[in-house]
Amino acid sequence: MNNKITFVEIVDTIAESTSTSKRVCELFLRELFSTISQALIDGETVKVKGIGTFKVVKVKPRKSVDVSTGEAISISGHSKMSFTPDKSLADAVNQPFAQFESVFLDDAMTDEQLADIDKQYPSLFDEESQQDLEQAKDTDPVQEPEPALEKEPEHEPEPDPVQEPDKPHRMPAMAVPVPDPDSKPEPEPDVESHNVVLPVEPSTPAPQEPEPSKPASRPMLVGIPIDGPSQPVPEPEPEEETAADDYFYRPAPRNAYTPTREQLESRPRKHGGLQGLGGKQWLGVAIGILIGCLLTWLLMRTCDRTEPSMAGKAVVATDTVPFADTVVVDAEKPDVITETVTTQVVLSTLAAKHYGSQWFWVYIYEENKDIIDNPDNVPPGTKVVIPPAEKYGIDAKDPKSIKKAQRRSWEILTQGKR
Amino acid sequence: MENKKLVETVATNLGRTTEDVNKLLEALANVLRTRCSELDSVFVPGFGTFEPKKRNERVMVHPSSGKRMLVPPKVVVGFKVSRVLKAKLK
Repeated sequence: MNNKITFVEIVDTIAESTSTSKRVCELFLRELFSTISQALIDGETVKVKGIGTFKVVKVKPRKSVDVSTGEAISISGHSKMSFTPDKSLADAVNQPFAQFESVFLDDAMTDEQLADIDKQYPSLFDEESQQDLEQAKDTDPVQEPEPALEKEPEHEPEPDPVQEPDKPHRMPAMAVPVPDPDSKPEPEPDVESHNVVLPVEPSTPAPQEPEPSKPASRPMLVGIPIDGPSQPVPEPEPEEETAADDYFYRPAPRNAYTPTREQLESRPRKHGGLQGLGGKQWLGVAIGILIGCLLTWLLMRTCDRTEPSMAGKAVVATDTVPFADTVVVDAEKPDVITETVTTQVVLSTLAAKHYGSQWFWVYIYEENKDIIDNPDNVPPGTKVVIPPAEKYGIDAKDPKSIKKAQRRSWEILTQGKR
Repeated sequence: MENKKLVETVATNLGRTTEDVNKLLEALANVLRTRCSELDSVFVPGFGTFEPKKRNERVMVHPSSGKRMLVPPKVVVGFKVSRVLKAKLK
């Protein structure tokens, strides 16, 4: 942030991304900018795709006053350069603020009207405090490890804390900790270290040895003694977040569960998707998913236990897991994409992410009409289904499609006001 | 000068195909996009600096309807011409 990127860095990045030599890139950049400069000097306007338009603007001569002497002077006319960024560049840079739009200010807004609005849209704070209350009521240990984990810079372990409480139940049933061969070929794109460590597994001596250095305050590590392979990388520092630590989290629940193929398959897919997000968004999404999971879990507790799949998309229910409510983490069926709305992630950001233009939020809204009252104010934690792009003819490259979405959004928004 | 002509000129001067140049140009646009999104300014010697700037939200009066509008905050890409080019343009 606020760094100055030098020419050398640009050359390096381009050379890397296009896998051409640095020399070629440097020559190209020099040639490109000198061509643009030359054209500008000749008085031409230069349009560069993906960057913007460079233009030479004439400045008329004007009169001014010399600040020190007070004499009238005239500033001679000259040309100056103006730059208009390309739409794609401008949009990409403005992405954090993309969901905002200009609003008309009503001069005649009374206090009563404002109060009404407040009532209509419960504030974020209320939402969260309610959730806190719900959590407080809960005696389940799920909540305990959470705050600590959320603060940690690395978010990989996020799905596991929810599953942990299940582990104690399962442990007696686990006779032999078979590091199932089935899971090895599974791609685990998120845990690089995992792949590295895996080959070591068979050579590990004394797999059943308990770990004396492990603090008892960390319930998630209970699974380790069973999970013999993780022995070679002891990790006494609970605060330290390393790749090895990450390795502990993952295989433990896997072995403990002996999950089905379906589960195993859905896990890497999910993480792979999340990894594509930027660091900041990650935090938001991670917290959002946690909240979403909790809500779903609470919901399901009230539901009939014998119908674990009632929450539909959210559950990957299996026979091997008696407490289906602990598995909601991997909430994804292969063809249905669900996303959770948070304070940072709203319909338009989701639309921009999935379809390439924020305008397509209307279709996400239409797909989830029954759970969203007001598209301008979707409560954080709401899980929305992202419809496949073909369903509504969504194409970010087609201006017509965008126009259609804009018209639709106007209709929806004016409808709500009436 | 439109993009196509620019690409052609650069390609002939470099002795490379237009596809190559297009690819490089796209990579350059990508660099600008990612870097400016991170609020880093990109400096090209002899040409200028692309620098993202934050604009605060402001109240604006709609010129035709006279209504007041709240314009949201945004980040825009600015461009500052290098002194060399500026002098040449004058």
